[in-house]
Amino acid sequence: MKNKNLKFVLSVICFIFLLLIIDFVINYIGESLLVRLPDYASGQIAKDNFRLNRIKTDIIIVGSSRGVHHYNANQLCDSINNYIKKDYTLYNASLDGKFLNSNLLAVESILNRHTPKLLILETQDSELYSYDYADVSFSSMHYYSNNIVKKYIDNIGWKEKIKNSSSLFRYNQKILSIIGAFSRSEENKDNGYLPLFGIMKIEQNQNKSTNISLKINSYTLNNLYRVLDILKKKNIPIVIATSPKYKPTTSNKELAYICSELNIPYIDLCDQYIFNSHAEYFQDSIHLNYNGAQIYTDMFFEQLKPYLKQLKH
Amino acid sequence: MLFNSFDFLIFFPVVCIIYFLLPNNRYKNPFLLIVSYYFYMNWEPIYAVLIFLSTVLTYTCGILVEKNKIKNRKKIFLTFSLLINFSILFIFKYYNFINESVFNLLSVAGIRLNLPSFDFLLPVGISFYTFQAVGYTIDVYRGNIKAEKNFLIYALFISFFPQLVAGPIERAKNLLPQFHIEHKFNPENVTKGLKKMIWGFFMKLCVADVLSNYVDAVYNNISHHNGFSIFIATIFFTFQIYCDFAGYSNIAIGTARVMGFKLMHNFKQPYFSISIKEFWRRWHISLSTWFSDYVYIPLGGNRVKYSRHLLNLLITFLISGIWHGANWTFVLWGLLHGMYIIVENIIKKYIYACNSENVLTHFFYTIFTFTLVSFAWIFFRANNINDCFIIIKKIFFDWDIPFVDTTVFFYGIIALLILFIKDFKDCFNININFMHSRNHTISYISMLSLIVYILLFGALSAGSFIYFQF
Repeated sequence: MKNKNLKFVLSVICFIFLLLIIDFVINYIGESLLVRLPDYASGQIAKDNFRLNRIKTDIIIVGSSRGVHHYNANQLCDSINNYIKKDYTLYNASLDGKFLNSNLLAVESILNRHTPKLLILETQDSELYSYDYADVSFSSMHYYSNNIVKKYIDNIGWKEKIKNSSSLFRYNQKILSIIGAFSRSEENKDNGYLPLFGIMKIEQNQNKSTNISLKINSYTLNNLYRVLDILKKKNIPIVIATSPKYKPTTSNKELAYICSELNIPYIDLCDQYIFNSHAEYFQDSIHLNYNGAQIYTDMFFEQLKPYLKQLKH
Repeated sequence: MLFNSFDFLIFFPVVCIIYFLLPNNRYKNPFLLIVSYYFYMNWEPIYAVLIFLSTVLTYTCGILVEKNKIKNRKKIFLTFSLLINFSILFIFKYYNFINESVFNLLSVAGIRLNLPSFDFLLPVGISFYTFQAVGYTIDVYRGNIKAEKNFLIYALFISFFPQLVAGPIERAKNLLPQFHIEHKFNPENVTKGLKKMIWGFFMKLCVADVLSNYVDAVYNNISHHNGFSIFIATIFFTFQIYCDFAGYSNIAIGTARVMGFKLMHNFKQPYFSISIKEFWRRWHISLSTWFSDYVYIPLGGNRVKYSRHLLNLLITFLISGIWHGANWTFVLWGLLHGMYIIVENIIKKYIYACNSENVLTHFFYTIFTFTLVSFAWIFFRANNINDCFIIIKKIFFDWDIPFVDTTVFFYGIIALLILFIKDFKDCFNININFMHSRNHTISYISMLSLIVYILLFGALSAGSFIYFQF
């Protein structure tokens, strides 16, 4: 019996050892692939890799899908350059389905190695209330290669620390997407902006307002204050913005309060007469289509002008 | 606590180590009881009171039923136990549904009866432990088992953590005696249990949770999807629900086995059934046999007039539907399966008794049964009755280019292929073994590959088990 038990314990040890070797190999393969990913490869993972580790443009836009589809990067870049008579570069580093924590993580990573001339953060109040782990875990592949990613994940709690020490966990459902990104690499004509085409179908009960009492998530708020503080110390201007919705039902009081408290420009264009209930400018109730994005980008630029003065010098 | 959570990954090894280190059952059983309640209280601590209440009640009634020699008195205690248990189940699970249904029905007649509605969460696993407790009382009443005198062991029988939340609904005859035996560390049990758990995790994380992304995207937004997408989602849901529930059962059986307990099988490759009757012998076996023993047979089973026999079948399936959830969709689902069984029975009796020995006929019957079962799942998954009919209409009349989620299709189809090979092999007793191979190297490599596959391709951050809501 004792022999059997000993054999079992030895088997378990061997098993764990083999698993650790596989874990190590996956980490090696994953990191090698990430390093070799082309700068402007398409796909979420490639874009996240680019914004976390490589982006070096003068002006950077970060946000969720509303950031990706609402800010026509070339149009905005031309407008800014014409206005301030410079030749700045601009990249829309927003990611579909990635919200405030992911975007703050990206900003902090960028600031860790690069000093942009201007940062534009597209967000809204609802992103302050939610804490979606997937938001941060999406970047977990960079846990050991990017200190900021490690800090964001470790701050969630000790369980995440343990989980992310395994590369099998970090690369969960991602390896094939990384490989896929190589085959989809293409020239980046739109500088991160992805236009949406088509007009939304109008349905009943769209954008019903909810009466749920919401609380600001402390993890998200801490990250926001820390990033804003770093920006202030580095003297890098930031503009926080909220783009239009088809039927805005909630206000952005919290963001407005935080911005006024820290003296940060906040451009809230969420509730605009020109867009309200104008389905022709939307692809769905929260995303502008190509035409809507063109109008919005111009409108945003007009609001941005007063804050561009310091870029002139 | 969810089996597919990180907490369980810490909880389970710690529980096992302490359990095997404890000297005997005087310590082991109280320890198991404490950890079982802790496991349950991770959801909503207050609901542990309901389990305790059900435990005390059925324990006391079991003893009183056994002690009393007069049949009428035995019946009174049994009725009392059933009444209280089912009342708790009714209040927490069905009250709001019946209240709403009565209100809607009376509104049609112009009467407005506004009874108060309760705003509380459904206690996790209430239908499972209630049925297990009720089954025990009936068994004692019938004299099939002796009433358990040791309260601690009885409490453990009701709350044993591997099967507390979603079964298998164990019989006292099988599980109770196992708490009287001292379970020592046995490498064979641990290995078999772990293999079962790994396969369960594969079913849950690599099949069910991956496919659920597509199913939820389509079923929660049916107006935006065409018939082809809904058809794919329905087929995916057929596998999702199987892998979600069978996955849970395998993890539960494996967890218990690691500690030396043998729980009953709950699934036996149900989608290889060649008839609906066979499907119900292979699907959720612990519930099917429960209904057979405590509902269908007491109603008279098949030892009554043929028409009454058919009615008994329909009633049993109707109750099975209601057991699953407080929604008309579940009622329809149960009725539909009842109708399937009745029609199948009539065909076999009067028209044609199928011969499945031919491979082609066997294949045809399997596909036909699979289609009927998948069709019925529409009623199970749809959010409401209205959606059911929209879905059916779209599947038959509104085909277009389907919505494609490449991630789900890629990972889902690979996992489904692995599942098919395993179930096919088990169903037809093909003597090729991977994890259960006698060759240690093959067994070892299979286990390792499956774990790596789960960690690398499974949906690790996915949610709860579907059957928890029941």
